[in-house]
Amino acid sequence: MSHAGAVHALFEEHAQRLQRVMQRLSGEPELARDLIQEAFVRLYRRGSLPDRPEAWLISVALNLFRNERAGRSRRKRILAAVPEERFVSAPPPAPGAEGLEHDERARVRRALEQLPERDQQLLVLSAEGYRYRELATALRLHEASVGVFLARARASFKAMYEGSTDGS
Amino acid sequence: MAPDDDESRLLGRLSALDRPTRPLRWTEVVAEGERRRRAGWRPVAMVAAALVCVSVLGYAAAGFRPVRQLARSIAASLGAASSHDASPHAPAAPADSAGIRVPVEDRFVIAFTAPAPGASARVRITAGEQLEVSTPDPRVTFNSQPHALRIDAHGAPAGFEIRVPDQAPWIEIQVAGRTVFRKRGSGVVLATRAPDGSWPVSLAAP
Repeated sequence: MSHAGAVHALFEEHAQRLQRVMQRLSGEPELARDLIQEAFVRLYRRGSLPDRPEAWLISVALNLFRNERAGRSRRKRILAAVPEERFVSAPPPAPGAEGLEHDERARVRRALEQLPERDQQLLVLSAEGYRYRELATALRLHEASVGVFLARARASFKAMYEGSTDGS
Repeated sequence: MAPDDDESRLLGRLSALDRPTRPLRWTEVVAEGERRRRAGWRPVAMVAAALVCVSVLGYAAAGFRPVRQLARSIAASLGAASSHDASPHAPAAPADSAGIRVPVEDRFVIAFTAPAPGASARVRITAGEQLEVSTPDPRVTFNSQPHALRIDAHGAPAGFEIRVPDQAPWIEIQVAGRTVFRKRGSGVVLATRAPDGSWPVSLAAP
Protein backbone atom coordinates (compact mmCIF):
# COMPACT_ATOMS: atom_id res chain seq x y z
CA MET A 1 0.00 0.00 0.00
CA SER A 2 1.29 3.49 -0.83
CA HIS A 3 1.98 5.99 1.95
CA ALA A 4 -1.04 8.07 0.95
CA GLY A 5 -3.18 4.93 0.97
CA ALA A 6 -1.95 3.95 4.42
CA VAL A 7 -2.62 7.45 5.79
CA HIS A 8 -6.05 7.40 4.20
CA ALA A 9 -6.84 4.11 5.96
CA LEU A 10 -5.73 5.61 9.28
CA PHE A 11 -7.82 8.67 8.56
CA GLU A 12 -10.92 6.58 7.98
CA GLU A 13 -10.36 4.69 11.20
CA HIS A 14 -9.27 7.48 13.55
CA ALA A 15 -10.13 10.95 12.29
CA GLN A 16 -13.63 11.06 13.65
CA ARG A 17 -12.86 9.80 17.13
CA LEU A 18 -9.71 11.90 17.39
CA GLN A 19 -11.77 14.91 16.41
CA ARG A 20 -14.22 14.02 19.19
CA VAL A 21 -11.35 13.62 21.68
CA MET A 22 -9.94 17.03 20.84
CA GLN A 23 -13.36 18.63 20.90
CA ARG A 24 -14.03 17.23 24.37
CA LEU A 25 -10.66 18.43 25.60
CA SER A 26 -10.83 21.88 24.02
CA GLY A 27 -14.56 22.52 24.03
CA GLU A 28 -14.17 24.06 20.57
CA PRO A 29 -15.39 22.04 17.59
CA GLU A 30 -13.60 24.14 14.98
CA LEU A 31 -10.33 24.11 16.86
CA ALA A 32 -10.59 20.32 17.23
CA ARG A 33 -11.15 20.02 13.49
CA ASP A 34 -8.11 22.18 12.72
CA LEU A 35 -5.88 20.23 15.12
CA ILE A 36 -6.83 16.89 13.61
CA GLN A 37 -6.41 18.18 10.08
CA GLU A 38 -2.95 19.45 10.99
CA ALA A 39 -1.99 16.11 12.57
CA PHE A 40 -3.06 14.18 9.46
CA VAL A 41 -1.41 16.67 7.09
CA ARG A 42 1.85 16.17 8.97
CA LEU A 43 1.47 12.41 8.76
CA TYR A 44 0.68 12.69 5.05
CA ARG A 45 3.76 14.82 4.40
CA ARG A 46 5.98 12.66 6.58
CA GLY A 47 6.50 10.20 3.76
CA SER A 48 6.47 7.11 5.97
CA LEU A 49 4.42 5.84 8.87
CA PRO A 50 5.80 6.01 12.43
CA ASP A 51 6.07 2.81 14.46
CA ARG A 52 2.77 3.40 16.20
CA PRO A 53 0.73 5.66 13.96
CA GLU A 54 -2.29 5.88 16.28
CA ALA A 55 -0.18 6.95 19.25
CA TRP A 56 1.78 9.31 16.98
CA LEU A 57 -1.42 11.02 15.83
CA ILE A 58 -2.68 11.39 19.40
CA SER A 59 0.65 12.77 20.56
CA VAL A 60 0.88 15.30 17.70
CA ALA A 61 -2.71 16.46 18.20
CA LEU A 62 -2.18 16.91 21.94
CA ASN A 63 1.05 18.83 21.37
CA LEU A 64 -0.66 21.09 18.85
CA PHE A 65 -3.43 21.72 21.35
CA ARG A 66 -0.90 22.52 24.07
CA ASN A 67 0.86 24.98 21.77
CA GLU A 68 -2.43 26.59 20.85
CA ARG A 69 -3.33 27.04 24.50
CA ALA A 70 0.10 28.48 25.30
CA GLY A 71 -0.26 30.92 22.41
CA ARG A 72 -3.66 31.99 23.68
CA SER A 73 -2.29 32.57 27.18
CA ARG A 74 0.41 34.80 25.72
CA ARG A 75 -2.13 36.72 23.67
CA LYS A 76 -4.38 37.06 26.72
CA ARG A 77 -1.51 38.54 28.73
CA ILE A 78 -0.79 41.02 25.95
CA LEU A 79 -4.47 41.97 25.63
CA ALA A 80 -4.72 42.37 29.42
CA ALA A 81 -2.16 45.15 29.17
CA VAL A 82 -4.38 47.11 26.74
CA PRO A 83 -7.12 49.36 28.21
CA GLU A 84 -10.40 47.46 28.44
CA GLU A 85 -12.58 50.02 26.65
CA ARG A 86 -10.93 49.18 23.35
CA PHE A 87 -12.77 45.85 23.21
CA VAL A 88 -16.39 45.16 22.64
CA SER A 89 -17.47 42.08 24.57
CA ALA A 90 -19.75 39.46 23.02
CA PRO A 91 -23.37 39.60 24.15
CA PRO A 92 -24.10 37.24 27.08
CA PRO A 93 -26.10 34.10 26.25
CA ALA A 94 -29.84 34.38 26.73
CA PRO A 95 -30.87 32.91 30.09
CA GLY A 96 -32.06 29.34 29.76
CA ALA A 97 -31.36 29.30 26.05
CA GLU A 98 -29.62 25.95 26.09
CA GLY A 99 -31.46 24.61 29.09
CA LEU A 100 -30.41 21.53 30.95
CA GLU A 101 -28.09 20.33 28.24
CA HIS A 102 -26.05 23.47 28.65
CA ASP A 103 -25.94 23.09 32.44
CA GLU A 104 -24.78 19.48 32.24
CA ARG A 105 -22.13 20.33 29.69
CA ALA A 106 -20.89 23.18 31.86
CA ARG A 107 -20.71 20.92 34.90
CA VAL A 108 -18.78 18.21 33.06
CA ARG A 109 -16.48 20.82 31.56
CA ARG A 110 -15.81 22.36 34.97
CA ALA A 111 -15.07 18.98 36.53
CA LEU A 112 -12.79 17.96 33.68
CA GLU A 113 -10.85 21.20 33.67
CA GLN A 114 -10.10 20.89 37.36
CA LEU A 115 -8.11 17.72 36.68
CA PRO A 116 -4.44 17.73 35.74
CA GLU A 117 -3.83 17.75 31.99
CA ARG A 118 -2.67 14.13 31.90
CA ASP A 119 -5.81 12.92 33.72
CA GLN A 120 -8.04 14.83 31.32
CA GLN A 121 -6.30 13.24 28.38
CA LEU A 122 -6.45 9.74 29.88
CA LEU A 123 -10.14 10.00 30.60
CA VAL A 124 -11.14 11.33 27.22
CA LEU A 125 -8.91 9.00 25.24
CA SER A 126 -9.96 5.90 27.16
CA ALA A 127 -13.61 6.88 26.68
CA GLU A 128 -12.93 6.67 22.94
CA GLY A 129 -11.67 3.11 23.31
CA TYR A 130 -7.93 3.66 22.94
CA ARG A 131 -5.95 0.80 24.45
CA TYR A 132 -3.48 1.11 27.31
CA ARG A 133 -0.61 0.53 24.93
CA GLU A 134 -1.55 3.47 22.74
CA LEU A 135 -2.24 5.67 25.75
CA ALA A 136 1.15 4.77 27.24
CA THR A 137 3.00 5.61 24.02
CA ALA A 138 1.10 8.79 23.30
CA LEU A 139 1.31 10.15 26.85
CA ARG A 140 4.78 8.76 27.57
CA LEU A 141 3.72 6.56 30.45
CA HIS A 142 4.64 3.01 31.41
CA GLU A 143 1.99 0.73 30.06
CA ALA A 144 1.71 -0.96 33.47
CA SER A 145 0.93 2.38 35.12
CA VAL A 146 -1.84 3.42 32.77
CA GLY A 147 -4.52 1.46 34.65
CA VAL A 148 -3.57 3.02 37.98
CA PHE A 149 -3.47 6.55 36.57
CA LEU A 150 -6.76 6.00 34.81
CA ALA A 151 -8.49 4.75 37.98
CA ARG A 152 -7.26 7.81 39.86
CA ALA A 153 -8.38 10.11 37.08
CA ARG A 154 -11.86 8.58 37.09
CA ALA A 155 -12.13 8.92 40.87
CA SER A 156 -10.97 12.53 40.73
CA PHE A 157 -13.39 13.33 37.95
CA LYS A 158 -16.24 11.74 39.87
CA ALA A 159 -15.37 13.72 42.99
CA MET A 160 -15.11 16.96 41.04
CA TYR A 161 -18.33 16.33 39.17
CA GLU A 162 -20.31 15.41 42.26
CA GLY A 163 -18.82 18.29 44.20
CA SER A 164 -19.78 20.59 41.39
CA THR A 165 -23.31 19.17 41.28
CA ASP A 166 -23.72 19.50 45.04
CA GLY A 167 -22.46 23.03 44.94
CA SER A 168 -24.63 24.12 42.05
CA MET B 1 -21.12 1.11 42.66
CA ALA B 2 -19.58 -1.41 40.25
CA PRO B 3 -16.67 -0.25 38.10
CA ASP B 4 -18.66 -0.93 34.94
CA ASP B 5 -21.37 1.43 36.15
CA ASP B 6 -18.73 4.05 36.84
CA GLU B 7 -17.33 3.53 33.37
CA SER B 8 -20.67 3.85 31.63
CA ARG B 9 -21.64 6.90 33.70
CA LEU B 10 -18.33 8.50 32.88
CA LEU B 11 -18.84 7.85 29.19
CA GLY B 12 -22.29 9.31 29.42
CA ARG B 13 -21.04 12.41 31.18
CA LEU B 14 -18.23 13.00 28.74
CA SER B 15 -20.65 12.69 25.85
CA ALA B 16 -22.39 15.78 27.26
CA LEU B 17 -19.34 17.68 25.96
CA ASP B 18 -20.04 16.65 22.37
CA ARG B 19 -21.31 19.32 20.04
CA PRO B 20 -22.22 19.17 16.37
CA THR B 21 -19.07 19.45 14.30
CA ARG B 22 -18.23 19.62 10.64
CA PRO B 23 -16.52 16.32 9.93
CA LEU B 24 -13.06 16.59 8.48
CA ARG B 25 -12.76 15.17 4.97
CA TRP B 26 -9.83 13.26 3.53
CA THR B 27 -9.72 15.49 0.44
CA GLU B 28 -9.04 18.48 2.70
CA VAL B 29 -6.03 16.72 4.20
CA VAL B 30 -4.64 15.80 0.78
CA ALA B 31 -5.24 19.30 -0.63
CA GLU B 32 -3.46 20.94 2.31
CA GLY B 33 -0.60 18.43 2.20
CA GLU B 34 -0.06 19.02 -1.53
CA ARG B 35 -0.31 22.80 -1.12
CA ARG B 36 2.46 22.69 1.49
CA ARG B 37 4.55 20.40 -0.67
CA ARG B 38 4.39 22.95 -3.51
CA ALA B 39 5.08 25.80 -1.07
CA GLY B 40 8.05 23.87 0.28
CA TRP B 41 9.62 23.78 -3.19
CA ARG B 42 9.21 27.51 -3.71
CA PRO B 43 12.26 28.65 -1.67
CA VAL B 44 14.42 25.97 -3.30
CA ALA B 45 13.27 27.08 -6.74
CA MET B 46 14.01 30.71 -5.88
CA VAL B 47 17.54 29.88 -4.72
CA ALA B 48 18.13 27.85 -7.88
CA ALA B 49 16.84 30.71 -10.05
CA ALA B 50 19.09 33.17 -8.19
CA LEU B 51 22.12 30.94 -8.75
CA VAL B 52 21.32 30.69 -12.46
CA CYS B 53 21.02 34.49 -12.67
CA VAL B 54 24.33 35.01 -10.89
CA SER B 55 25.99 32.48 -13.19
CA VAL B 56 24.58 34.14 -16.30
CA LEU B 57 25.62 37.60 -15.11
CA GLY B 58 29.04 36.32 -14.16
CA TYR B 59 29.43 34.71 -17.56
CA ALA B 60 28.39 37.93 -19.28
CA ALA B 61 30.75 39.96 -17.11
CA ALA B 62 33.55 37.59 -17.98
CA GLY B 63 33.06 38.36 -21.65
CA PHE B 64 32.93 34.66 -22.47
CA ARG B 65 36.46 34.09 -21.27
CA PRO B 66 37.68 30.65 -20.34
CA VAL B 67 36.04 28.73 -17.52
CA ARG B 68 38.78 29.41 -14.96
CA GLN B 69 38.35 33.13 -15.41
CA LEU B 70 34.58 32.71 -15.38
CA ALA B 71 34.80 31.14 -11.94
CA ARG B 72 36.79 34.12 -10.70
CA SER B 73 34.27 36.54 -12.18
CA ILE B 74 31.39 34.81 -10.44
CA ALA B 75 33.25 34.81 -7.15
CA ALA B 76 34.00 38.49 -7.58
CA SER B 77 30.38 39.30 -8.48
CA LEU B 78 29.25 37.58 -5.31
CA GLY B 79 31.69 39.75 -3.39
CA ALA B 80 33.21 36.75 -1.75
CA ALA B 81 36.66 35.38 -2.02
CA SER B 82 36.89 31.95 -3.55
CA SER B 83 37.75 29.28 -1.02
CA HIS B 84 40.65 28.18 -3.18
CA ASP B 85 42.39 29.69 -6.14
CA ALA B 86 41.50 28.24 -9.50
CA SER B 87 45.18 28.00 -10.33
CA PRO B 88 47.00 24.94 -9.02
CA HIS B 89 49.89 27.20 -8.06
CA ALA B 90 48.46 29.61 -5.54
CA PRO B 91 50.25 32.81 -4.50
CA ALA B 92 51.80 32.30 -1.07
CA ALA B 93 52.43 35.92 -0.09
CA PRO B 94 50.51 39.18 0.14
CA ALA B 95 50.69 41.88 -2.57
CA ASP B 96 53.64 43.79 -1.05
CA SER B 97 55.77 40.70 -1.41
CA ALA B 98 55.94 37.77 -3.79
CA GLY B 99 55.68 34.04 -3.45
CA ILE B 100 54.37 30.81 -4.83
CA ARG B 101 53.19 27.46 -3.58
CA VAL B 102 53.49 24.39 -5.78
CA PRO B 103 52.84 20.69 -5.23
CA VAL B 104 55.93 18.49 -5.37
CA GLU B 105 55.69 14.80 -6.12
CA ASP B 106 58.84 13.73 -7.94
CA ARG B 107 62.22 15.21 -8.85
CA PHE B 108 61.98 18.97 -8.71
CA VAL B 109 64.37 21.80 -9.52
CA ILE B 110 64.23 25.35 -8.24
CA ALA B 111 66.24 27.45 -10.66
CA PHE B 112 67.26 31.05 -9.83
CA THR B 113 68.15 33.26 -12.75
CA ALA B 114 69.83 36.66 -12.63
CA PRO B 115 70.17 37.04 -8.85
CA ALA B 116 72.13 40.00 -7.45
CA PRO B 117 75.39 39.36 -5.60
CA GLY B 118 73.79 39.78 -2.16
CA ALA B 119 70.83 37.45 -2.75
CA SER B 120 70.36 34.55 -0.38
CA ALA B 121 67.82 31.98 0.68
CA ARG B 122 66.95 30.14 3.86
CA VAL B 123 65.65 26.63 3.27
CA ARG B 124 63.45 24.87 5.82
CA ILE B 125 62.16 21.31 5.72
CA THR B 126 58.53 21.33 6.70
CA ALA B 127 55.61 18.99 6.99
CA GLY B 128 53.15 19.11 4.11
CA GLU B 129 53.01 18.36 0.43
CA GLN B 130 53.70 21.75 -1.15
CA LEU B 131 56.83 23.68 -1.83
CA GLU B 132 56.62 27.34 -0.81
CA VAL B 133 58.91 30.13 -1.92
CA SER B 134 58.40 33.67 -0.66
CA THR B 135 60.31 36.91 -0.73
CA PRO B 136 59.63 40.43 0.50
CA ASP B 137 60.67 41.80 -2.90
CA PRO B 138 57.58 42.16 -5.11
CA ARG B 139 59.70 42.47 -8.28
CA VAL B 140 60.59 38.78 -8.22
CA THR B 141 58.68 36.65 -10.75
CA PHE B 142 57.95 32.94 -10.73
CA ASN B 143 57.45 30.55 -13.58
CA SER B 144 56.27 27.11 -12.56
CA GLN B 145 56.60 24.06 -14.78
CA PRO B 146 55.76 20.41 -14.16
CA HIS B 147 59.10 19.54 -12.50
CA ALA B 148 60.72 22.91 -12.10
CA LEU B 149 60.25 26.39 -10.75
CA ARG B 150 62.13 29.25 -12.38
CA ILE B 151 62.63 32.33 -10.24
CA ASP B 152 63.83 35.58 -11.71
CA ALA B 153 64.95 38.19 -9.17
CA HIS B 154 65.63 40.71 -11.94
CA GLY B 155 68.99 41.54 -10.43
CA ALA B 156 67.56 42.39 -7.03
CA PRO B 157 69.47 41.29 -3.90
CA ALA B 158 66.36 39.57 -2.64
CA GLY B 159 66.16 37.27 0.34
CA PHE B 160 64.07 34.10 -0.08
CA GLU B 161 62.34 31.81 2.33
CA ILE B 162 62.01 28.34 0.84
CA ARG B 163 59.89 25.74 2.60
CA VAL B 164 60.56 22.28 1.26
CA PRO B 165 58.08 19.50 2.10
CA ASP B 166 59.75 16.65 3.97
CA GLN B 167 57.83 14.20 1.77
CA ALA B 168 59.52 15.50 -1.41
CA PRO B 169 61.83 12.72 -2.65
CA TRP B 170 64.33 14.88 -4.56
CA ILE B 171 64.63 18.65 -4.68
CA GLU B 172 67.51 20.69 -6.04
CA ILE B 173 68.19 24.42 -5.93
CA GLN B 174 70.28 25.81 -8.75
CA VAL B 175 71.72 29.27 -9.30
CA ALA B 176 72.57 30.04 -12.90
CA GLY B 177 72.90 26.30 -13.59
CA ARG B 178 75.00 25.51 -10.50
CA THR B 179 73.53 23.30 -7.79
CA VAL B 180 73.71 24.90 -4.33
CA PHE B 181 71.30 22.68 -2.40
CA ARG B 182 69.94 19.19 -2.80
CA LYS B 183 67.56 17.16 -0.69
CA ARG B 184 67.35 13.48 -1.52
CA GLY B 185 64.97 11.56 0.70
CA SER B 186 65.62 12.85 4.19
CA GLY B 187 69.23 13.86 3.52
CA VAL B 188 70.51 17.29 2.52
CA VAL B 189 73.80 17.90 0.73
CA LEU B 190 75.79 20.93 -0.40
CA ALA B 191 74.50 23.08 2.45
CA THR B 192 75.28 23.44 6.13
CA ARG B 193 72.55 23.42 8.69
CA ALA B 194 72.21 26.52 10.88
CA PRO B 195 71.46 26.36 14.64
CA ASP B 196 67.82 27.28 14.00
CA GLY B 197 67.41 24.14 11.86
CA SER B 198 67.35 25.92 8.50
CA TRP B 199 69.83 25.67 5.62
CA PRO B 200 71.19 29.06 4.49
CA VAL B 201 72.05 29.14 0.81
CA SER B 202 73.89 31.83 -1.09
CA LEU B 203 72.25 32.74 -4.38
CA ALA B 204 75.14 34.80 -5.67
CA ALA B 205 75.92 33.94 -9.27
CA PRO B 206 79.27 32.18 -9.74
